[in-house]
Amino acid sequence: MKRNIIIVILFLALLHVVFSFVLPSQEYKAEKIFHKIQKTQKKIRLNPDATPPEMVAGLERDLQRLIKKYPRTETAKIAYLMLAETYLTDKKYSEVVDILTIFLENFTEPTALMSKAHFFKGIALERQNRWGRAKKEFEVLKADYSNTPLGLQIPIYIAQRHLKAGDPLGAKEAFDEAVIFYQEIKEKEMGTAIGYMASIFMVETYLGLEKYTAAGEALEDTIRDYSTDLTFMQTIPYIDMIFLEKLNDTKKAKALYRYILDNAVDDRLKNAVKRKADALQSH
Amino acid sequence: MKSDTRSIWLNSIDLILKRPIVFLPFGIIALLEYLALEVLYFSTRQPLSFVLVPILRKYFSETSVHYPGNLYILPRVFSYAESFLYIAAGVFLTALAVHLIKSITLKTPVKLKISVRNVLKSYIAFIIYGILVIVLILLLRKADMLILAKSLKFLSGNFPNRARQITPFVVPVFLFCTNVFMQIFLTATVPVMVIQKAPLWKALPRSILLGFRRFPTMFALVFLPLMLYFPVALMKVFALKISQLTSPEIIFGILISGIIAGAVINCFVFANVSQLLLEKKE
Repeated sequence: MKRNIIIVILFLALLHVVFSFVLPSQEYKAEKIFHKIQKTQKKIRLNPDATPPEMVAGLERDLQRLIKKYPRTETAKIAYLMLAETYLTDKKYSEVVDILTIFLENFTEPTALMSKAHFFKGIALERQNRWGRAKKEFEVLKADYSNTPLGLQIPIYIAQRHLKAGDPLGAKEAFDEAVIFYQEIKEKEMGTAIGYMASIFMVETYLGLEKYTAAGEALEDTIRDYSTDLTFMQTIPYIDMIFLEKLNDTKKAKALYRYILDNAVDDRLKNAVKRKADALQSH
Repeated sequence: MKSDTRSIWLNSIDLILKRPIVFLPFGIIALLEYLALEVLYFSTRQPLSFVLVPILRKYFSETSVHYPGNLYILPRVFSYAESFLYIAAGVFLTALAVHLIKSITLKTPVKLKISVRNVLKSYIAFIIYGILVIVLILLLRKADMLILAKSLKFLSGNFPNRARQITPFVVPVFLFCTNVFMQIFLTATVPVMVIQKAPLWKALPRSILLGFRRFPTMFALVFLPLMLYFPVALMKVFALKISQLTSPEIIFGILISGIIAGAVINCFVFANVSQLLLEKKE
C-alpha cells in the first residue's frame, strides 16, 4: 500500500514536469521571461541614476533573447517596444530605429503598440537630427492612427516643434493644419474619449495660434458636449487662462462656472468651483 | 478524560499506520484535488486554454489568463474547485473511510466494494451535508468579518499604529480559528450517519450535542489536530507576498502542501471521532 502511494506520487510529479515542458505554449514561456524582465525594469525605475550599467545591459539582453526565441508571440511585441524605450533612454537612437523598423515590418497590430512604435521611431530620428524622416513617421502616425492618443497629439507636437526650432511661419502652418485635423476628428468621434481629446487639443491649438476667442469658443463647446466631472476638473484651468487672463471676460467665466455648478456631481468639485465663482463675484 | 484522548490519538495513529486502507479515501480526495489543481495550473495553455481562458477572462480579469496573474489567482479559483469536490465526492469518501474504520475496529471483514455500496445509499444526504457545511463556512466568514471590522475600527481609533501592524495577521488567524472551532460541532455528523446509521436530520443535531457535552474531548480530538493545518493556511493567505519574494510558482507548491496536509490531518481527525463513537457508543 505504502509502495503504491509512493509510486502514484512520483507518477503525478513526473506528469506535471512532462506537461510543463510538452504542452505547447510559446506565449506562456514568453510571459515567464517577460515577468523576470519587468522585475528588473522595476528595480531600474526605482533608482535610475544609481542603476549599474550591467543591469541595464542585462535587461537589453533578456529582451533580445525573448524576441529571438519567441518572435511571433504577443509578449514579443511588447518586448520590442520595451527594448526601443530602453535604447531611447540610453540615447542609442540607431538601435531604436533598427529595432522598430523590424517591428513595423513584421506586425500590423495591435493599434496601440503600432502607434507607439511609429512615435518612438520618429522621436529617435528627430534626436538624430533627421527631421525629414522623423516627420514622415509622424505623418503616418497622424494619417493611420488618428484614433489613438499618440496619433491625436502629433499635429500639435509638430507645430510646437516648429516653435521650439524658431520657425514661427512653419509653426503657424502646422497649427492651421492641426485645427482642420482636430475639427474633423471632433465631429467624427463626437461623444467618445477620442472626440473629447480632439476637443481639448483644438483649444491648445488655438492657444498656440494666440486666437483666444476661438480657443474660448472651443473650450465652451467641450464643456457643454462632455459634461462630466472629469471634463470640468480638466477645463477649469483653461477657463482661468483664456477668459480671465487673456480675454478679461469675467462674465463668460462666471457663466461657465455656473454651468459646472449645475452639472457637477462631486461635492468637493462643486465647493471649489463655488469658491472661484464667489471670488469673481466680489471683484 | 485525558487518557481517553491520548489513547484515541494513539489508536488512530496505530490504525492508520497498520491499516493504510483507511487513508485510501482521503488519498482519493487528495488525488482529485491535485488533478483539479493541475487543470487550473495549465488552464492558460493549449489545449485547456481553449475552454478555460474565456471562463477565467469573464469571471476574473484579463491578467488572470497571463503569467503570473494566472498563478496569483490560483488559490481563489482552486478554493471553488475544492468546494465543488468536497460536495460531490469529499463527504462521500470521508463516509467511506469511516465505514472502513468501523469494519476494522469491530473486527468485521473489510471489503471495499461492500463499504462503497453501503455508503452510496446515503450519497444524496452527503451532498446536502456538503452544501450545508460550505454555506455555514461562508456565513461564518461574513459574521467574522463583521466582528473584525468593528473591533479593528475601535482599535484603529485608539491605537492606529498597532491596528495597522496587527491587522494582516489577526484577520486570517481569527477566520481560521473560528472555522476550526465550528468543526468541533460538525465533524461527528458523518461518523454518526455511518456508525449509528442515523439520517442526516438526526446526525447533525447529535454531532452538535456531542460537541457541547464532550467539549474538552472533541476539542482535543478535532480542534487541536486541525490546528496543525494552520501554517499551511497562513502560507495560503500570504502566498502573494511569498511569491513576490521568491517566484510565482511557489503558489502551486503551497497549494500542493495544503492538499497533502489536508488529507493526512482529516484522516487523523475522522479516525479520532470514529474511535470515540465506537468506543463510547455515543
